Formats: sequence, structure tokens, C-alpha cells
Amino acid sequence: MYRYLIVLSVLLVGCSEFPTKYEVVEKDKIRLLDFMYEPSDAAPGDTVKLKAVFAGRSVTADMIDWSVSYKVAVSEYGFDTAYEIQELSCNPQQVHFSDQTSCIQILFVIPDSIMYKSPMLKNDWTAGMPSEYRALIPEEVRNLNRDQLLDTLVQLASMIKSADSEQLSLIETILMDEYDFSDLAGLLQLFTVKMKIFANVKGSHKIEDDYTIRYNRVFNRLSSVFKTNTNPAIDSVVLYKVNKKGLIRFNPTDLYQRYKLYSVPSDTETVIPVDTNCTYFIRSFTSNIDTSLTLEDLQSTGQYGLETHRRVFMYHHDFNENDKISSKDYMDIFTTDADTMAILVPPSHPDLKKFTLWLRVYDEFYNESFRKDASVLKEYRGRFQY
Amino acid sequence: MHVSAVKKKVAILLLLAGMHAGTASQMSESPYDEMTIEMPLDEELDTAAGEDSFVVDKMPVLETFIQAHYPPQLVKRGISGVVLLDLLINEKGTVDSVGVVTGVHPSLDSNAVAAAKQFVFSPAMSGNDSVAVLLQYQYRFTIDDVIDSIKPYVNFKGRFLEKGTRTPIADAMVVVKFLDSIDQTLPLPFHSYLKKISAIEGQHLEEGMIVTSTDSSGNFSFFSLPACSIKVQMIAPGYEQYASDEKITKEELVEGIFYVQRLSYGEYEIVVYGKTEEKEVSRHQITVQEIRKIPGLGGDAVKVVQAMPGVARPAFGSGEVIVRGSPGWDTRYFLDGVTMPMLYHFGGLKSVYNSEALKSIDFYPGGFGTCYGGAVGGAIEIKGKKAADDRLHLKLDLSTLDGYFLAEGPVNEKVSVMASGRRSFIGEIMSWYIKNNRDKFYMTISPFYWDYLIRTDIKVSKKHNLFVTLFGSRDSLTMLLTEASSGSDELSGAKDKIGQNETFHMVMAGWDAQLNDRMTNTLREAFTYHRVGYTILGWASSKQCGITNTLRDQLSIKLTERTKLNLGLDVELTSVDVILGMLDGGNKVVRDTNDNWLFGVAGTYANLEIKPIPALQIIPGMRYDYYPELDYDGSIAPEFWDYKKYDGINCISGEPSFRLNSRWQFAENQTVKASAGNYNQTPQPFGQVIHKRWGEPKMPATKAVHYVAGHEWQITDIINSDVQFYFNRQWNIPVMVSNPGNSQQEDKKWSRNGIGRMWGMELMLRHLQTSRFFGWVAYTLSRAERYNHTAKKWELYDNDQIHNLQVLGSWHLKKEYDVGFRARYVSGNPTTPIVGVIEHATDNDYTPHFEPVPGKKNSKRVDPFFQLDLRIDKKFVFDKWMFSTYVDFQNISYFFYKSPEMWEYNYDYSEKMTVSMPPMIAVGFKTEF
Repeated sequence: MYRYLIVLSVLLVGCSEFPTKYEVVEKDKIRLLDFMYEPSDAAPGDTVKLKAVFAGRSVTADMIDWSVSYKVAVSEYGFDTAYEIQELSCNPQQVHFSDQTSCIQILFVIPDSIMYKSPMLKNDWTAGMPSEYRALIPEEVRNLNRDQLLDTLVQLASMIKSADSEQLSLIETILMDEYDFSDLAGLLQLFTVKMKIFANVKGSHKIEDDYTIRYNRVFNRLSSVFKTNTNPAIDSVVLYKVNKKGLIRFNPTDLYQRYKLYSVPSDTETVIPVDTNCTYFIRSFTSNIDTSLTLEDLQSTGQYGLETHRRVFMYHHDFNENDKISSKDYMDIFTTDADTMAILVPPSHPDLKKFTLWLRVYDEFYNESFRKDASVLKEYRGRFQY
Repeated sequence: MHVSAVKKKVAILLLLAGMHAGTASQMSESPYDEMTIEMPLDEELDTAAGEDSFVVDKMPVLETFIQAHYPPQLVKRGISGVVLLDLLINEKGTVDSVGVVTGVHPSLDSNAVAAAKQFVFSPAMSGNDSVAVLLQYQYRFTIDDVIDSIKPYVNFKGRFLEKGTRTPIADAMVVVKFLDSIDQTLPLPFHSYLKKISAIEGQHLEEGMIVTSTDSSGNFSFFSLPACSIKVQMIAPGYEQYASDEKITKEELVEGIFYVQRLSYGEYEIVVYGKTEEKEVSRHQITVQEIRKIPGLGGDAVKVVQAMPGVARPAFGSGEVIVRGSPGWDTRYFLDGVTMPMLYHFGGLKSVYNSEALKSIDFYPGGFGTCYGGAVGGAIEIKGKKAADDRLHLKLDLSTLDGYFLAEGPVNEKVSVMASGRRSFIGEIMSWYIKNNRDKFYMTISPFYWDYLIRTDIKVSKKHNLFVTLFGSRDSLTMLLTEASSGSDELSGAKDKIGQNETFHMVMAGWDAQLNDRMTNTLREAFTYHRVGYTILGWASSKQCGITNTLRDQLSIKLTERTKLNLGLDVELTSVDVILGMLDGGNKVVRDTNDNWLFGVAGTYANLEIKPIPALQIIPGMRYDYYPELDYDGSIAPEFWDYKKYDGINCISGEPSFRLNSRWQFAENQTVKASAGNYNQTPQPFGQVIHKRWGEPKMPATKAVHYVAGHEWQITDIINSDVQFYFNRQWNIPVMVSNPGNSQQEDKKWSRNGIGRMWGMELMLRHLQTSRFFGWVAYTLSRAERYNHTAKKWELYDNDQIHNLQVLGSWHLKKEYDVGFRARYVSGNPTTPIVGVIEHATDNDYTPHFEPVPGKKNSKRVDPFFQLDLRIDKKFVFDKWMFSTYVDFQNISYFFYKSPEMWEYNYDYSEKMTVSMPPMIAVGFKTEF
């Protein structure tokens, strides 16, 4: 492995850059900005709303053929294969997201039978499971085969779905007498399957996405022990203009660092004065930080963990302004996964003034089986003032 | 008395007196006088007998000898000779008169006369009467006494050492030439003196010069040289002629150490004519002297294998040895018969075994004999050099990558030791560069390596040699990605870190024994501690720690003059503890631990070297290898094809092999050769394919068959060619299979169905080392394929390189300059074209935004690869040490042709860029003595 790292490092030094890169939206290409699911944590039988937001070349609803696979196999190495790909009945519609984007919305229903069909759930579902996990599962449950357990889950879910608050309390009481809800939450992770959604954009390319189906959202009605994954929310974005050039990190609480703070609203254009003696940092504040409990947590500390919010910036300059200007002169944003702060480098060409920027925030929580990365997208506009 | 009568009488007496005088001469204590007599004519004797003669009964006897004065100035001038005198000795025995018959020098003549007059003889007797007689006396003036008085003593001695290395120059001719200031105090002529001292043992006279020679330690001595100015000259093959002026003074010992320049300090001093006896069909042996200065290899001897025919060009930065189309893991590396845990630092940067400590490298691209097992590709054996036993040697080397020292020398007559240590500082250089270019880097890289070697050689006796090698290495690489942090805290506390480290320590003992006239034994026993660990962000981490015990023994028995039996044992067993953790497809940590996992190979072999006629050699051999880590029914007979009929027979997890090597020297300088054999190895990638969770636990050994035919031609003394044709077939190659998607069946991850075949032709045209040049042309025409079971046809394998041409040469120039070049032309590697793209809507740590859709596998090739390397070496030789420096210009062809390493794509694969290895300059400095 290490020799590839050496090669990689040498190539990083030796390679020249492509004029195009993922973060920069191109005028003549269809760029997917986000697939936003509502809910982001679905159970069999749920109706799901998916908003696909595109930038660059415009997209209409009739340009996309939607298809789906409810039968996805995942190997030990994490490679997945979709079987029985079929057309998705989803009523695609063009909806408005922003002036600079195209947004197609679809609605589809998760089949009740998805878990029965999925090759991810083996008949001997405890086989290959570490003994410590297996010990968490009540013996009467452990002795059930896959279909027997699924039957139980489906019936229970059906009861919970249709139950009123009084009935829920009753179910909860009965279940709590028999089981530890945390253990059941762990069990639900083992009964998590993937489906795949395909969007074939005519004249462009094919888009593929994974969606996770599990019973957490249903059982969440019963108890908050059953955690659900929700889409993050972007509360605000601010810009720091720090009076020192060449910085790669910035801490606003540092009293000795002079800076100016700009709010970056999503509904109006932000004016950014360019000063080559300054460094610009862009920061986002998000909410809807979910918690969850992994199987490892369950058997060790029992502590719930917080999901992490990741940020992706995409942008383009005014397509009329950047026509004859080298991409090397474009603005740039360096994100840091570990930090909420990103460096914004203003364009080096004074003709590049207007820009549109999209911030996509998605969540991550390691060690939860096949957890879907829920996401949110927001658009911002701005202008550089030289 | 009548004169004539007297004359007759005297004439008779001449005869008698001659006899008498001889007696007198013998009585004389002086070497300067001698009585001689001319033989009278027969008729004179006859005539005398009839006259009134008397008979002298008793000849005069010299009783008092008087030394004639020999003037020293005449001695010094070398004037010597015999003064012939007529002495008239009266009845009393005194000399009445003296006449000079033949003179030498007036002074000597008169001195001889004066002395002779004082001689006293016992008178001649005739009966009872004393009589007067006339006789001739030779008075000899000679300088022999003076010469004899010269006693041998050493007054000039010294030692000739090679300049720079201080190696003694043995058997050199040392000449003393005498200059004009000859010693005036010599009591005799100079040439006489020289003649005298030239007779002293160990020195001789040649054209007026005294000559001697040096002993094995380079020492020489001259005896009794005259006090004068001399010119000392040394003449030895391979060295410049040495001359210096010295002053010999009277009765003083002059000593000196003289350093002599070697004609060439290149690595070409060993001139090899002809070839050693070969047993193997495919072996290429490379001596270290040949290869240290090959351009593009950074002075690393082990890398030279990559310049051999049959070896494909590895990817940039990779030291992988791809032999005859096989992947790198199909080839095993040995150090003196023991497997090396790793061959290179950082997968190809530098070999872990110091090149200075190498004796030779044997490279077997295929068709090797039964002494090697556990490999279906090739074998590389590095042979360590014995520690020097002549004197202390020290080498210090600094290059752009690292620095090392090597010291070796004798401890006593039987024990010698070599020690070396190396440490990299590329990490420090990179850190410095990154620190000063922070805006360009979003990571810090800290590569670091070291290695060490201690070898002790013990000459137990003439027939028994022991050695112990302690050898170890460590590689460590840490990349901190300042802008990234991902994965699970459970797997790594530093989720922004990619780290890898590998350490091993090996102790090996070797015993080479000549048991008797017919039996030899070679034994190797080694223990190797090996530890490997890596962390990839928070995605995966692993630790492996194991100990390997290696035992190799070969007993060779000479059955007859033409038959030799070799019996061998080859056991290498490793016990390892493995801890592995990784995120699976669902972001879930999957752990695996395996304690005391036993794996390796236990083999035994026998082969018979038969020479039915001197020009023909046939070596049939058998081998059996057992793999303890495998769990399948092994074969009961050697497999030369993928036969199935014995499947299911309960057999242990091992494989038998049969191999046949033959060589026929059908002409004085030409040999044809052929070999056939089957081979096997544990399935690769090692461990993974038989893993109970991720692999196929019943995976069998991978098998192969090699067929080789070739021709060797010693075209001239220094040029030879070797052409080989080969065909290899491999089966039971593990191949990864896709998930079948059947929920009711366990996923099968690896299959045993892989089949490969490779064939080709290799040419090696080699100019052996001479004092000025060596080089070779290596060309390989090859094809490597894998069978596609789905498409039911053969496809190009990743390592297929149709043409591989390498030309290299190195010249040793005057003033210790060396220049060399290496040019490589290689067909582009097969590549799979990208025919489309899939965009993943969810981008996370695992999923790229855009995933390429591959076209037909390996249906395209990247452009051909061409690389030109140049190297210049310069050595500065001082009396007691040497300093050398080199500049290695790698890939200077970049400036006119950018050889593709691979294709790089932009984010959505709409743009393609050829990635080339940049030109590089390696600089190094070395000090040695």
C-alpha cells in the first residue's frame, strides 16, 4: 500500500491541474447539486419525496428516466450490486428551487416486501456475526430465521404505524417487559437494507444513489431510543475577512487577530470587498444534529454519539463574465472536513465579479449499518468588489 | 754453463717447478700470488732427457710469502690481473732474480717483483743436493677480498599500497635505478659492487638496476645499496608506473610507504573471460562490480534485475519485479537462501540490503531447479559478500535519499566482521519543502527508513566456513491530511492520518562444509521477526507480528566423476498474530484477529546432476512442498496441466514437482539448453484469499508449468548472447468474483478458476566487463494473458508488455570519470478504456462523485514508454582515501518525450491527461578507504 502512497505524493507534486474541477459548475454540463430525500430515513411502505437539484445546463422533468432496484447485494468489502432494475413509478415534476437551478421532484413508495427480497439479509442472519453482537440478541429472537423475524417486525411495525397514543403506550409497556429497547435498536440495524435509485439524464449521464430502508422511523413513534436520521439544516453562513494574507487556519476567538465579519444571507447578494492582504474564511452553522447508537457503543459504553455534518461548496462565476478567462483565475474554496471553516480565495481576475455558490451539508455517522447520508442544499449569491 | 744447456736444464725444470710452484701457491696465504707453469712442448722434453740433466727430487716450497702492495686507488678502479714472474731460486731458497713475463699495471708489476724478491723457498733438491731452479710464478692481484668483505644488510625497505584503498600491491616489480651521484667511498668499482649485491637473495641485477618484488603484503627490501641517489620504480599490472627519487645514505636504513595509482578505479577491474559452469537454463548472474554505476538505478544493485530480459517495466515508484508476465508476488527473494521479508524500502526506493555488502545476484526468470520452491514466477537470490579479511575498510555515503556507512575488516586470522547502517533523510527534506510551500500542500508526509547489517565470517578450517548475519530494516510512512478527517474513532485515534510501518530483524547462521572428497553440505538457519502495521484514516487499521523460522540444507554427494546427487530441505514456517479492523460497506467496523496463525512452506527436494558426456548435462529433480496454511486436497503426482481426475483424494495440502534442466555444449562456444518443470505457490494475495470471512478457505495452491528452450553463444571472449524461448501456464489462480445476489447463499468472494498463460522470447547480448566498458542489450518479446470464463476467451493481462528493449553501457574514462547511459523502450501497458460515467448523488468518503464505466478489459494500450537515463561518476583518489561523487539524471527523455505512466482523468472523466514520471536528479557522495 505504501508504495502507492509514495507514487501518489510524487504525482501530486508532478501533475499539472485540469482546467475543470468538481466544485466549479460548468455552463454546458448538467451538474447534480443534491438529491434531497424526505424523509431521509424511510421504512417499508413509506412514501418518499426526492428533490433532484441541478445547476449548469438546465434540466426538465422529461429528460430523466427514473428506475430503481430493491434488490441490492453488498459484499464483505462493501461493493454493491443492483439486481432487477425496474422503472420507477414516481410522477416526476419540475419544481422551483432557485433561479440558477433546475429541480425535479419525484414521489415513490417503498415496497413492503423490500426486506424479504433483499439479498443483504441472509436466511441464517446471525451467521458471521461477532459473538459479542450475537449475545445482545434475545435467545428467542436469535432462534428465529430471517423470514420469521421479518414477519414479526412487519406485524409490529404495522401495529405501531396504525396505533394511537394510547395503543402506543400499551405496546411500549408490553415490549419493555420483554426486551431492552436499546438491544432492539441494535437489532434494527441488522435489518437494514439498501435500494438504489437511478436517474438516466438523456443526453448527459446516469446518476445513481443509495437509499436506506429500516424500521427506525416507525419504532421512533414508540420510543426515542429508536433514533432516526433527519436532514441537516443550514442556519446561517458568515464570511470572515481576516487582516493577514496566506492564513490556512483561523480562530475568531483569537483576540489578536483582526477581522471583519460579513453575514451571507441566502436571499440577497453578498458584496465581498477584495483585499489581497487579507484571507477570507467562510463558515456555516448547521442544526438537526442527530444522535445514534452503534452496536459497538451498545456493547461498550452505551453512550449515544453525535453525527458529523460535512460541507461541500460548489459555485460558478457569472457565465457571461468568465467566458474568456482562464479557470486558474477563478475563485476557489478549500473545505476542511474537520472544521466548519473553509478558505475562500477571491478570483485573481478583476472581471470576475458575480458568483453563485451552493452549500451542500450532509451528515455522517460511522458504524451504523448502511446509514443514509441525509443532506440539505442552499444557494447563495455574491459579488466581488475590487 | 752453456746457455743452451742451461736453457734446456731450466726448460726441464719448468715442468717440475710448475708442480712445485703450484704447491707453493697452495701454501701461500695470499690470494694475490699463484705459481703457474706453461706446459713445455713434448719435443723439448724428449731433447732434455738426453743431455746432462739432473732430476729434481724435491721442488722448492714457498716458505715466506710477502704481500705485494695493492694500491687502493687501483682496487677502486678495479684494476686487477695476474703478473707472471720468472723467479730464479738459488740453492739457498732465496730469490736471486725476478723477471716480469706478463704485466698488468706498472705499479702492480713492480710491487709484485719487489714482493717476490723477498720470498723464501725451501731449496729444490736433486738427490741430496740443493739445486737452483728457475720457475714461473703468477702473482694475482684481485678485488675479491674486498667484495667478500661486503656483508648484506637491509638499508632500503618499504611498502607499496594502492592509492585510495590502501590495498597492498603484491608481486609488483620494484626497481632501483642509480643516479649519477654514486658513492665515492666505495672501495671497489661500482659495477663490481652491484654485481656483488645483486647476488644477495631476493634481488638481482638487470641492465644496471637492482630489481626485487613485493610480497603479499606489498612489502619489499633492498640489501646493501650503495649510498647514493636512486630512483625507485614500481611496475605492476593494473597500476600506473610509479617512480620516486630517494637518497640512500651510508649506514642508515631508509624506509617508505608508497601509494600507487590504479589504472582504473572503475567497477571494472575484474575482467571475466569465459563463463562459470552453468547448471540452470534461465539464470542470469550479475556481479556487483557490473552494476553499481548503471544509470537510473541510483547505485542500487538489486534494482538491476529490472534491466534484465524477461522483467517487465514496473510502474513508477514501484520496485515490483514482474517476471515473464507474472505479478510481483509470484517471485520470491532470497538472501543466501533465506526469504527476505521485503526487498525494497518503500516498495522500490532502495533495496534494504546494502549494495556494498553484495557479492552477486542470481536471477531466475523461470525454469529454475528444484532447490527453489513456493513460487510460480521467478526467483532472485542475493548473495552476501564475505567480510573483508585483509584490512579495515570503511565507506561513508551520502545521497539525496539517505546516508550509510559500511565498515569491514579482520578481527583475527580466522574471524572477520562487516557492519553497515543506513538512515534516510528524505523525510526531513520533504518536511522542509512542504513547510516552505504550505500553500501547495494539504498534507505532511514523513517517510523514514533505516536498515542495518552485521555479518561475521569465521574460517573454522580449510573445509569449514561459518557466517552469522544480523540484518534488519524499518520503513515508516506517515501522511497527515490537514484538510481531511474521516472514518471511525475506533479504528484510529488520528482520523487524518495514513500511516504504515514495517520492521524486521533477521539473524541467520550459515555453515558451508566440505565433509570429505565427495560430500559438501550447505546449511542455513534463520529466525526473522517481522512486524507490519498500517492505518488508513479511520477506515482501516491492521497489525501483524510474526516470527519465521527458516531451515535450508543441501547435501551434495559426488557419486561418480560425472554424477552428483543433491538432497535438500527447505522449510520456512511463520507464526503470526494478526489484528485487522476495517469499515465495511455499511460504515460498520469489522474486526478480525488471528493468533498464532501458522503458514509457510515446508519443502524437500532431490536432483541428480548427470554428465553422460562432458558436453552434456542433464539435471532431473523432484520436489515436494507442503503449505500448512492451506486446507485442500493436494496433488499426488506433479501437475503439468489442470488435471482433475485425482480431485477428491484425501491428500495433505501440498504439491509435488518434477523439473528437468539440460544443457548441451555442441560447439566450443555454443550451448543449447532446455528445461521443463512444474511449480506451485500459496495462493495470492496472501492470506486474504484463504481468509475464512473474506476469502475461500479451501483455496488450493496456485500451480504453473514452465517450458524453456534457449541458445548461448560466446561470440568473443567478452561478448556473449543468450536467447531463450519460454511458455508458462498457470492455473488455480485466485480471482475475485462478484456477489451473486442470492440471499440464500453465502457470498463467494474468491474463486480458484483463474488461468493464465505467458510466452515469449528473450535476448541478452552482453559485453562483459573490460577495463573500459561494459553493457548489454536486453530485449523481451512477450505476451501475458488471462482466461475470461464469462466471455470464454483469452484477454490481455495487466502486465502484458509486448516489446521491452533496454540498452545500457558504461565507460570508464581518463581521470577517473565514468559515464553511462540506459535507454528503455517498452510497449504501453494494457488499459481498460472508460466508455461512460455514473454520477453518485451521495458523495461521502467512500463513493466518488463520478464512477467510470469501464469498456472491454485491457482493450487499449497507453502510449509506449521511453526513458533515457545518464550518469556521470567522478572519483578523486588520495593516498589514503578516495572521494567519489555521482550525478544520476533520470528520465532526461522527459524533455523530448513524456512517457506515460498512466492516464489521469478529471472529476467527471470528460478530460484525460497523461501522467509522466518527472525528470529527476540524484546526487551522491562517497568516501572510502
